[in-house]
Amino acid sequence: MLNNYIERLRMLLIENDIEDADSYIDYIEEMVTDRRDNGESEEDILASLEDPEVILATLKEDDLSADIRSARRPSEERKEDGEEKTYVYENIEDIDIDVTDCDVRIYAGSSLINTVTVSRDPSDRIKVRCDDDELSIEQEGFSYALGWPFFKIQGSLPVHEKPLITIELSNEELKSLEFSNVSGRSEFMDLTFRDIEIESVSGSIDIRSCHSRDAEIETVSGSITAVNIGAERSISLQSVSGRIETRHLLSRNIQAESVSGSIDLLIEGNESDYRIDIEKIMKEQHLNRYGHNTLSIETVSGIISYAFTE
Amino acid sequence: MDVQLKRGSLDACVLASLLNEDSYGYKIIQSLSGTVDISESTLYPILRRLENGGCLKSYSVEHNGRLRKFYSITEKGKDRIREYLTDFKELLSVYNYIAKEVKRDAE
Repeated sequence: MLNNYIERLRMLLIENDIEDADSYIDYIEEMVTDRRDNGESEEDILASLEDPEVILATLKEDDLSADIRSARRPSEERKEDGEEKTYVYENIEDIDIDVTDCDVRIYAGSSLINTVTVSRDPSDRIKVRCDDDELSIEQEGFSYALGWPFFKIQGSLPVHEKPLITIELSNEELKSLEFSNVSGRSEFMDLTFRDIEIESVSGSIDIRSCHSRDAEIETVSGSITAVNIGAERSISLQSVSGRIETRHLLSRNIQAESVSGSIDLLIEGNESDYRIDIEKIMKEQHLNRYGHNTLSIETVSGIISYAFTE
Repeated sequence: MDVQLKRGSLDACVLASLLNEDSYGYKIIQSLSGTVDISESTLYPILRRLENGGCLKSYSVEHNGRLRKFYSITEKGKDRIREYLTDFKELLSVYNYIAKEVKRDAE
């Protein structure tokens, strides 16, 4: 009977990938033998032993606690096949990403685990670091002076192929997102941060269904697309020549600035709630109204259009 | 009891049971039986955690033709007990304050 119990337990622990199943079985066998040596009957021992499912739950809970305590380093590097690498982190609060020429996609997943997937094996020039509570990705060894050196040196990647970094974050609210890219496309979806700062030089920025206290999005020549963005205190969108297009912005203070790019805003709420300042320097157009929120739009030569949902 | 507090207390109990002599799983449960209710499946993760954390060391001894795993406490384990006692002393003064205020409120 005891042998059946132990075998059932062994199979259950193995099926559920308990890290040290063998070690636990050794432990329980020793425990059972000691009890038998001390005069307990097999029936009594069996009756007192916990159901294997309960033991499994206890061991799993302890594994989870151990993982959370060691959250300041990648808990796992799950996959490495030359094309794609996945790093798994936990308890990340701040996200700091600085890359040069990568396409990046950041979105909220459903688990408590934060994963980073770097595809097309750009590992020798993209560093994924996790210090304290900060996850950081840096791209190094890139120089415009040499003209796309990485791709030429490697020889294995066509010039037009950018590495893709996919980041799946837990749904829990995170402290801050600081993101900087040069020429890659950057996408953000379904995220909640206390603060968001996104910068790009020529890459487009696409941000959808994100919430924060303050959101700052800035680009030189890339476009900014912002849809369903709520920021309790302020939203700032800035571009030199890139187009700014938004749908359903919600914030007490909204600021959109562009030198020559067009600005197209659809703002949640009633126009009468906003004090609206529009400066279009080339055409000397000024418009001021008064409300308890503020909307400020500024451009030199770009086309401005704005509307409210109510 | 709060999970972390309970975890810390169980860790300290297991460590304390090893202060005067090295011991093994079954005997640890026996020696704690009058103090805390601890099952085999609860003890195992504690031993593993303490060993991984350097608070315990283990070694095997042959006994009746089989190997029995003994645990001994390390200096780090003794430090852990001292930390626990210090923390608990602080907690006790908080408890005394709360109990005193509750008593005053009742009067």
